[in-house]
Amino acid sequence: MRDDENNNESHNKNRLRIETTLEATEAYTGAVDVDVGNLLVSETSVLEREKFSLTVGSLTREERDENIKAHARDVLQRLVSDLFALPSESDVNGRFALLPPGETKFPRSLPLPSMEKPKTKWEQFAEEKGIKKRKRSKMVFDEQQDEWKRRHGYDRAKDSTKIAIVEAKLSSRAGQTEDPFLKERKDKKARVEKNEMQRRRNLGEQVKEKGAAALPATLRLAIGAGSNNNSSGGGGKKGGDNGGGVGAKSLKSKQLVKDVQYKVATSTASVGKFNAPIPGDEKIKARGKRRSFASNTDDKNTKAQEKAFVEKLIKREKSKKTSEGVDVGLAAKKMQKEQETEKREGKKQKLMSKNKKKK
Amino acid sequence: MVAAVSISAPETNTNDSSRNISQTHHLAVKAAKTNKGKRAIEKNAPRRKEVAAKTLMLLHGAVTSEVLKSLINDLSQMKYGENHKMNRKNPGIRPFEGGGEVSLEFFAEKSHSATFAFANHQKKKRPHAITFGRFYNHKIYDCVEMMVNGETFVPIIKFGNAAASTTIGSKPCMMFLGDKFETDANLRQLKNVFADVFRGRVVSRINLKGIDRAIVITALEDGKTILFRQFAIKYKKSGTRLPKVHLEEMGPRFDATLGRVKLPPPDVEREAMRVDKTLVKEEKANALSQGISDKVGKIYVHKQTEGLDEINRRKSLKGGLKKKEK
Repeated sequence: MRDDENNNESHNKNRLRIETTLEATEAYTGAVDVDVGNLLVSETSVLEREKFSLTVGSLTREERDENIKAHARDVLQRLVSDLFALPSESDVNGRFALLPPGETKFPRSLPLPSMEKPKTKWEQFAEEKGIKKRKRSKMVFDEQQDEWKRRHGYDRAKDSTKIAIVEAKLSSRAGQTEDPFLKERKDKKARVEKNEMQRRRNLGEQVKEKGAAALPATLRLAIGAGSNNNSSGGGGKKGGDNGGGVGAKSLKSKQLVKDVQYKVATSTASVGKFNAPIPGDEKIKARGKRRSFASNTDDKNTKAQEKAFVEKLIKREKSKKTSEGVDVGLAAKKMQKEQETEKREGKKQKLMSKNKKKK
Repeated sequence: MVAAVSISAPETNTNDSSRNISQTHHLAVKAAKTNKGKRAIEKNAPRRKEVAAKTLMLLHGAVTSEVLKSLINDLSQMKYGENHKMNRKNPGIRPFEGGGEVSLEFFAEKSHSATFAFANHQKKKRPHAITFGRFYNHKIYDCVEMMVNGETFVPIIKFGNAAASTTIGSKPCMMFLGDKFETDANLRQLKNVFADVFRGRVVSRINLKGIDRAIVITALEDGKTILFRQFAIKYKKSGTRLPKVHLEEMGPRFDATLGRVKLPPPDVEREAMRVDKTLVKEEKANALSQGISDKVGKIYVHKQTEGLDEINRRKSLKGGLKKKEK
């Protein structure tokens, strides 16, 4: 649309060369919007009525279709001439025209990812101190093995875990001598764990700052999880079950131990009822729903129990309503009642005062 | 494919985290467990520059017709490799009504589709209605409805061997004929929707032989009738270096009346039209690139007549110059 002028300009420039070819190929000569990048042409002049309108004259459908075809051919010729005028490169498969980017604007299908990647703690520190990344070679010469090896990763140079002989101090106390190989393995493990912890901490900080969008696509927040300000995550109960809730890891392991304890304690012939008393056992409780049934024979307490049950139900329903939001009907009723009482009282007082005056 | 990994981000000190859970910032993150799973996720993740073709989801409403079934089949053929066709009826889908888009959007997310064609036949109210539309972030962005004239519909199969010369899944040319595509807001939207649906993937180069089909959409003067045609392109010698184009209709062919149109909400539109600024190269002023290696620059040079001005003012000289010209 906007580029019509540009295209015309380019046509005018090459006029001498193209005009002949356009004529030879019987291309459409009117104004045309060509978006070569999208192979899109729009010919937006008013259509000739005699050629396209069935209501005018005695045009048949078949004739109109022929007209469309003929007109489309002429317009298409313009696109083709533009395409063939583009710079191209040849290949085994033929000639490829190098397309410019499309000019028509289309909406994205997914949101634009955030441009700024949140900085890790190290990156922040490096920026503060003015530390810049230096490019280091991938390969390093390993003097011990006398060959070039990778700086990091598998089969790396100076692999501390693969040194055959290490000097070690013998402790004066028996059994206290430290195994240097074991120490190295432990240290390595600790380093890996520390790095993992730092990675997690960085991710956590990023999510806290920028929300879930800060995470890369391959990571996403689990259902029921969220940052501190996201309280609707359903935390508590669910967290224990699927291990994805608030403070999942520590809670989960604790809960798992408790679950196993409960299972063991109840895995007797009496389902744990007549176990020999073990200290601390009374604290073991099952998770989840427990159903208690009202007695069928106890007549004394049935009425009271039933009443309590009904009251409990009512209470629950009421609390549901309030937690979900305002019950509009109820609120309106209340307001109306209040207004009515106010009115009534106002009238009463007026009457009273009148009566007083009369007296 | 995914495993739960819990991430704890203590606010102050790591040692305190286990003691006081309420003060620490905890979140659970699901991470891709295998490389294959990771790749699958990354494939459909948002990108700075969207190059892949928008998948067209094809589906039917509560009631469908033979015409629509056939048209949907043809559309799947036109969008070969870039469509997701569904065969069941979907009574709950009404793209233009509130709440009617829920399952449509759900399917879009599941099938990673960014466009859809929804066929629904209401015999009296909206016969042979087909709705084309787009999604932004798996939510309906815009949609355009049209009622296909059943009598005029001719499927691809009826055109015989015409489509044989085209490559399946090739990138089509698109032509929009008629001033209504410029003047009418609804038709302008329709043009953009159609262009987006059929344009396929974004390419930087194209095989000139591979340009073998053209979709031609005509908007008549009434501002309501749309004529949809597809032609196979054949090249013939013209005597110049430019080949002469020859068209052969390959179908589908249908005439349709424009129905309801839903334009994108302005704020969503602004969001969806965002372009990554880092990807747009700033054009240098006065520099034109012609082809791969040539670069033509324009240089501004001051007027060179400063010295001449004084000379020109002299009457004697002026007259002399005039005389010479004559």
